[in-house]
Amino acid sequence: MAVAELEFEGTLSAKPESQFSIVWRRFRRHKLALICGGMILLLIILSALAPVIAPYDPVRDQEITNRNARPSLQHLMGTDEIGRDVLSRLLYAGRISLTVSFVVTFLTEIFGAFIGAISGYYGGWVDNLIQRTTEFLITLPLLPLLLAFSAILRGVRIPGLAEEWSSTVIVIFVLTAFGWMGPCRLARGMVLSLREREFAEASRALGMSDLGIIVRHMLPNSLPPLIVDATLGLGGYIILESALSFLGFGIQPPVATWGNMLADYQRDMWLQPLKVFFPGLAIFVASLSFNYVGDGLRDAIDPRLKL
Amino acid sequence: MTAYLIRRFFQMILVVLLATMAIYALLNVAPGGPLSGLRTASADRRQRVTEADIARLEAYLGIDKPLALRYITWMIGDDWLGADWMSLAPRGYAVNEETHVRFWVEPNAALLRPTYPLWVRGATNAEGVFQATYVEAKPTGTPPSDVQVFRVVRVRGADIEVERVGAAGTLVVHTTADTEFVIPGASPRPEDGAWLNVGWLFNPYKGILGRYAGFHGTNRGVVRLDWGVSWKLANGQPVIMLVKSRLGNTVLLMTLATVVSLVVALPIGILSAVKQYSVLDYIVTTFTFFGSSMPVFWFGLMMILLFSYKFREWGLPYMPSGGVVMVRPAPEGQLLALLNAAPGGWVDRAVHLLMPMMVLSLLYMAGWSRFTRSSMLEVLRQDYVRTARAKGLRERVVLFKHALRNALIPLITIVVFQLPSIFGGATITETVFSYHGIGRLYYEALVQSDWPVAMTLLLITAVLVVVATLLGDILYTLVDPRIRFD
Repeated sequence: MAVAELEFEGTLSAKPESQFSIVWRRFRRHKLALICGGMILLLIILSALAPVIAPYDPVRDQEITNRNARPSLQHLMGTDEIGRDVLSRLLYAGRISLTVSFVVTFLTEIFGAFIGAISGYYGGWVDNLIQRTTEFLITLPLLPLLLAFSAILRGVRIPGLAEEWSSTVIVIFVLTAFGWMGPCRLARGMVLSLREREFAEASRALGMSDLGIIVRHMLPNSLPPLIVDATLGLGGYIILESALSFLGFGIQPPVATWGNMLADYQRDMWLQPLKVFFPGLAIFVASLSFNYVGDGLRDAIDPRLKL
Repeated sequence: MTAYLIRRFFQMILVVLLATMAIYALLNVAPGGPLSGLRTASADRRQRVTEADIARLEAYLGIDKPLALRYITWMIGDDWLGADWMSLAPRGYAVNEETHVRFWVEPNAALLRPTYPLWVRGATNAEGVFQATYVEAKPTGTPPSDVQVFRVVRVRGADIEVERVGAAGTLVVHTTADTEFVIPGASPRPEDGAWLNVGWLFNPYKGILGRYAGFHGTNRGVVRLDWGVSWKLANGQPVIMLVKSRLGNTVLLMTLATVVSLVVALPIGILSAVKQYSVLDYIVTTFTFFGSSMPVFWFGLMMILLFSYKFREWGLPYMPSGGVVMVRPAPEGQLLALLNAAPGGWVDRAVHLLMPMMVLSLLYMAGWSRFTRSSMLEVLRQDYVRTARAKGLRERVVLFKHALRNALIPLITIVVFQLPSIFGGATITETVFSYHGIGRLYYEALVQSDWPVAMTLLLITAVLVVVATLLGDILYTLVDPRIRFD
């Protein structure tokens, strides 16, 4: 009797597997995603440790006599047009590029998805107002917008931050302010359809609050396209950042980012094609890894996948 | 639905109106501007550009006027305001026949244009002044027997000084409130109340905008499809010609890229969802990831490097590195020479289209097939798909009629925004391949502050964006009838 009771207690207190561990268990099954996750981790660590492992200073060490050098043992990726070590610049650039793309993607997806879900769920004038606002923002041309912003924000320093990080924060702010419309439209499209489904109706009938339904049912179910959008965005924002610095806005040379290195070295492409290859490769590897990880993540959170 | 569409239509107009206002203001507050180069030059003593020159140019371009007035005239034109309407004789009335906007201008001194032919009916009064009962400016045809034909010499208040054609000496014609005026495009007599009194706005002495009384132009405004004249890119050419010369190229490139991407992306997405984790899925996934991971201009340049530059070195039939058609005979060994393509012919065009189209297609394809795959995976495991299969429906029917339809929503959201792109072009790709298209025009117009060109393209884009979102919403209701908007 006592034993039976103990066993009974045992079954009751057996903890259900947490959501996180389910996702992690499934994620591990996607081998390529796991490898690419490691790749991203490696990129982050390498960039974070740039001051320690970079063989040269990315800005100050200039070997004027050794410009546009081919890769060698001294300079594993060669030197640029004023003799700076490309590898060191690439490492330091990763810090800014990865930060920008991670933070902007995260913020735009979260903010856009939430606004989009509200828009789709409530419909009516709320939907109209939000959707017309996104249309309005989508029509605004980015180029003069950024020129105007750069005029207003030129010289603005965020206290307590180094200059390049201060402008990084501003770039993140601007890219987020004009990047949330895509996720918003995606989430809204999904929610428009989801809110008419049976489970949403059931939740309403059970007296669940609107906010509860949006957070617990609408958003999780609209995640798949948002994850795809985010993985595409991660690579895209690295490039967009370079377009900004090209326009004289945001992170300025001599501070390196992957984007502006790519844009700079492109000029010497016919002279030394290898030079433009490396920053392009860095962006390519990062984007590719993001894509696979996003893919794995999508599968891992799929509630219908029984693994 | 009809009520919703009507409501939506008015919202669209409002959005476009607000967007163009914001963009117009934005162009003006952004640093630079059409005369920034000259301003820099005027700071340099060796250049002979004076402040007066700049002021003159500003007046010529119309940018000395207040922002709001410039926006209004960009929208509805400036041919209806300024000298001609201001110069209507005492108690003159006018209606602009094309816009049906009626204006009533208070009596003022500025009058009819010199050298205008004038038909006048009237008689000389006791003071020896010719008192007119009827004045018609710029008439055509043969005059009635009781009118006299003059030319305007000058106008002073209610008096018009005229000269008879071919005769010496001038005559003063006095007009009063009772004089009937016929002015080009003007209606002689309005009913009271049906008229908009704009004297407070345009009266040269009292009106708010009175000091712009000379602001009369020939621009008819974008509402009447007059897009203005380019300032810089093609100085003095109508914007419409500039756009027309490139629109075909861009629409061709973008439509092809869009269609090719869709045709490839959909099956790829479906296939890699149905056969999840198969070798095929991995290959396809990696292939599309390649497309989406490469920065467009890097990919474009690498293609040029390989197919135009290296292929020539290796003696292979190499591709033209850019352009729409060949401008000089294809050199020996180039693909075009090999195909013996006629300059400007379709082979010529197709070969030039190949590389930019591939770059764009791969980019779109990558994203679209990912969206398709991810939503298909979501849908394929749902109960109704299982039910459809259990009913014994053929797999093709299950996939396309049941699954795909419900998986289309994210794809619709993304793909409808191709509509503005089809006309707006792809700036980076067009630049890399020196493709003569709208995308480059837009970029150049913005960089060089050619505002009439930029505003035209932005207006078209704005309209297409709101149309695209409406199209998206309509398509949502088609693929998922549960979605309703009214």
